[in-house]
Formats: sequence, C-alpha cells, structure tokens
Amino acid sequence: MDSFLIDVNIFLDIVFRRDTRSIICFERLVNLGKELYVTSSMLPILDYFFTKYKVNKKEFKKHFVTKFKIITSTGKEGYEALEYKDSEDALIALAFKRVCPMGVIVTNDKEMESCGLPVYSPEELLAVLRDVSEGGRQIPILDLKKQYRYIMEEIEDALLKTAADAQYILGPQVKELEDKIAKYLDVKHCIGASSGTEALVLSLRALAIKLKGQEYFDKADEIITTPFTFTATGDAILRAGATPVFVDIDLATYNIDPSKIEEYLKSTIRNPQSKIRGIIPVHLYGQPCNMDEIMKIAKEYNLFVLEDVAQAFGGTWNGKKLGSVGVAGTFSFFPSKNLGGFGDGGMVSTNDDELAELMRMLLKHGGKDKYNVEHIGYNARLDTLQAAILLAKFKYIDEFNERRRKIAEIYNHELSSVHGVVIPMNHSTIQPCNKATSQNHDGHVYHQYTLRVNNGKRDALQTHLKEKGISTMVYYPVPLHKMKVFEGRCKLSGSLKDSENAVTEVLSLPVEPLQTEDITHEVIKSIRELKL
Amino acid sequence: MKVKAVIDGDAIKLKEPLHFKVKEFEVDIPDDYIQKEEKTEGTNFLESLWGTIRQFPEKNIDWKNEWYKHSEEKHG
Repeated sequence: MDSFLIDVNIFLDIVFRRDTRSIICFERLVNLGKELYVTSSMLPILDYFFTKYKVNKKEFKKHFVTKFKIITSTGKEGYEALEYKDSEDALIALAFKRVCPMGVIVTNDKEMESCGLPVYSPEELLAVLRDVSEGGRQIPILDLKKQYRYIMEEIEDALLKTAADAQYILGPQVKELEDKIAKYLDVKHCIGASSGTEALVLSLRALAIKLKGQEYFDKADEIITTPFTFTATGDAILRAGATPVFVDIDLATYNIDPSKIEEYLKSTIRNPQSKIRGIIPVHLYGQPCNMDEIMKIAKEYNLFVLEDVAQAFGGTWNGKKLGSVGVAGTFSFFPSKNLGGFGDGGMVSTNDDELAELMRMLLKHGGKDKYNVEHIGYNARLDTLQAAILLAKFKYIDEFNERRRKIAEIYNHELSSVHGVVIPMNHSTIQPCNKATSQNHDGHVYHQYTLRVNNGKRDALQTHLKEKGISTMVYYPVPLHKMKVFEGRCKLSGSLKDSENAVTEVLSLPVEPLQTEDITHEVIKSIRELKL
Repeated sequence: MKVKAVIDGDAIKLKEPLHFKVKEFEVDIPDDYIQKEEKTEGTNFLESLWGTIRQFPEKNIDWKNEWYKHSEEKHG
C-alpha cells in the first residue's frame, strides 16, 4: 500500500478546500511519503476548474510536480475501457493498474472497483493508514519499479518518441548520450557499447591493436586485476587473449591493494619472460581505488591502466570523475547500476583518439565500413532505445548518488558501534597517499553498502534480516581465482587471503536511492536485534 | 536507544536559585517511546497549492456534474 491514485472529485475537494476528511487523509499520505498519482485523462477536468477559480497554473504546476506523477493511458487501454459501464473511470483505473498493480484508488465512487484495484474513500483510508503505517513491509535491496515511477513521465516520453522515430541502430540518442557523458566525465570520447562486459573487451582489444599491432594479446601478456569482483573483469582479459594476474585486495576498501601490485611487479622484474601489460582496477561497490598509487606504479613500470567503473558512475578520485584517470574507463548500464538502463548497456571513456577510433570500429564488426572490415569485430553497439532511457535517467544521477550517500551516512553512523560488524571505509576516511594533491572528500557513490560480519555470523544475519522482510545480497560469494573458468588460465600473486576472507564476511544492505530514512532505520534496528 | 540523562534542577526555593547537577547516567529507552518529530510536509504542500488559488468556491460543488454540464455546453 504505497501508491495512491487520487480521483478527480477527491482531488478537487482537497485543492479547493471543500472537504476536511479528504484534506486530513491527503496530509497523512504525504507525511507517510506515499506515491501519489493522477492520470492525464483527468487533466482537462482539473484545468476547467483551475481556470474558473483563477488558479495560477504555472505556480500550481511547480508545487504539484513535487508530489504527483501523471500516468498516461495507452490506446489499448482506451479500447478496453470502452467495455466498462463508465469508460472515463475505467480509463483512469486501467492506466493506474498497469503502473501500480498494488495501488489503491482514493475515491467515493465504488464502481471503480470493477477494474480490479482496491477502492477507498478518504474516511476508510484514514482508518487503514493508521494500521499499516508501521512494520510488516518488505524492504528490497533495490526497487527498480519505484525508480521507474519516480521518473516515469520522462522515461515514457523518451520511449514513445524513440519507438516512433524508428532509428533503432545508432540513432541520435546514442551520440547525444556519448557527448553528455563525455562532458560529465571531462574526457574527449565516450563510446556506447552493448554491455559493461563488452566495453571491457572492446577496450582491451583496442589496446592490443594499439600496443602490439595484433588483434589479441598473447597468453604471455599479463593483466593485473582483483579477484574480488564480478567475473566479467577477469573474463574480458581472457577474451582479449591475455592472462589475468589476481592481486589481493585491501580488506578495508575491498579494492585492489596498490602495495600488493607493487610487490608482484618487483617479484617479476628479473624475469625476462614476464610481459605485464596493464592493470584493471575495479572501483568496487562505488568506492574509488587509490588511483594516485595505481597511476604512479603504472607510470614506473610502463603499464596501461583501464578503470573498471561498472559500479561507480559519478564517483570521483581527487575531484576527477572515475573513468577519466586511466587510459580508458568502462561503464555498465545494467539495470541495477547507479545509472542503469532497461536491459544491458555499457560505455567506454577515453582521451586517446586512436583507442576511441579502434573501439568504434570493433563494436561495428571491426571496420569503419561494415561491408569491408579491418579487424575481428563484434556486434556490440548500444541500442538507441537504451540510450534514450539512459538520457532521461542521466538527469537524476547526481541526485540519486547523493541520496545513496545519505543512506550510507545513516548506516555508518548507526552501525559503527555495533559489535561484530565492520562498516565500509569510505574515501573520506582513507589516508590519501599524496597529501599535497589529494582532497579528502567522499568520492564513493555506494552502488552497494557492504559491511563485513565477523565471527562467522554473516549467514545468520542474512537469514535474520530475511525473516524481517529485509533483502540483502552477498557480492561476491566466490573469488575469481576459485572459479573453474580461470583454472589454468590465471596467475595468482602470492596469498589472496583478504579476498578469500571477504567472500565469507560481506553482506550488502538495502541502498535504494528512494528509500526513506524510516526504512534505513528499520534495517539498522533489525541488525541490532541479533547478537553478533 | 541509549540516551545520556542528567539529574538537573533547583528544587529548593532560595532567594538566589542554587543550580546543581548530579550524576550523569545512561538510560535505555525503547525506540517506540521516543517521540518523533511531527511531520508537516503534507500541510506545507497543501498550503503551497492553496497559495496559488485566488478564489475558493464558497459552497460544496458536484464537480463531475458541473464538468458534464460544461462539456455539454461546449460540444452541444
């Protein structure tokens, strides 16, 4: 009971102060942070009365949009509505039901029940709201339906226009998104790709062509990365023909430990067979890696740095956007990401003209002219439809990242004293390696809020939270070097014990940008209930 | 929630009030008993909407009927 459609009569009673019960009920809905809707079919009626009673429509709209969403009916719903006794009411109810299948209609017209959603008068709703305002709710780790509803008007507009425009492959929205993100990251080029994984492969393939003059790296070519990440990072190295070298993480940040990278490089310096080519640092959970250290090491050993920014869109290191520090950065627009589409999507950022040109060729079958290609390419373009959705969502990225940070602040504050729990260290608490250049601000964008649970109690806590209706996730249960796919295909740099410990202790808590403070505190309260 | 409490007062009536503090200690108060700040978001939102209306109707109106009447007049 989170979404409410306010029927015309009730809406007008509230707006023109005609009914006290409707006003009190509405105040309560707003105070409880409920989602409120009207439909576009209601607007001509509202507008008639706005004109009659001299409403300043421009000002009204400015306030109205802060709390209400307008749902548009489809043509198909129009046909369906004609089958009901009152097609006008049916059109309203059917559109609302599509967007909010668990929604409630606030009306005095009981006939609206025939469309299959619960109907409450303001008086009835007041009684029920008292009962259901506390407890008993399910708390998801992420709520994509809620996010969709939050920016529904812009998304639907983008979807419908793109569908009608029919430029489905590399339409103008792809270029617009690439340009906007390049400006946001302050890089020369952004290249849309079909996924974050493909963005990694395209980057590595382009690097092989540029650095070695051959299509793929050789098995003897080594690329250093973390074993504590999603499989795509290591998998992309294999697909580019090279060998992943797994270097352990710093348990405090969950990111690759630069001092251990250096240890490995020093250990191989006298080995003439060793052909270490580059480093792929992964900004895991939205936390920036220590890029000062990594770039310094890379420069010293003449290695490329390809940033894996799949989980950290909008994150920064020393005021620079992640993805603009290394030779290239790769992004994922998987739906759950901070900037996520409605399917797979990805992007590469770079200041290197040659790499950009190569990647643009590789993603279109390997040539500038797809009927006469030069390289072994892919079909890895970003869909126009995804680009259109991402353009609509991109406007909200800073707001959503800030919301994530605020949730993390509450968790940090309230959980730091809980015995048996280690809260994630964030950038602002990490001692910068270069005090002269490092700014101590928080570059973390909390794609995940992941804590460690000591004493073997992680699974017990997860079960306890599940019983309370709170979803959590283990990212990741198996380190890459323990996966079958990497058997005999990777190298390990010494002990990887911190990564192996992390997989047994990490637990990601709900960090839905639109979750209310009450929900965050409910999660905290439930964690405190269990003796850890 | 654990909160710090202090016995604080001036219970004895004196010409010049003598203020004293004794013993600081912690009390554990169940979260349910903590009074939450009263929410005024709904009232503020409504007031912002009402602030845009220059003329409120003086009596109750059957909105739908009036709309139908208007539609009939408009479209014949």
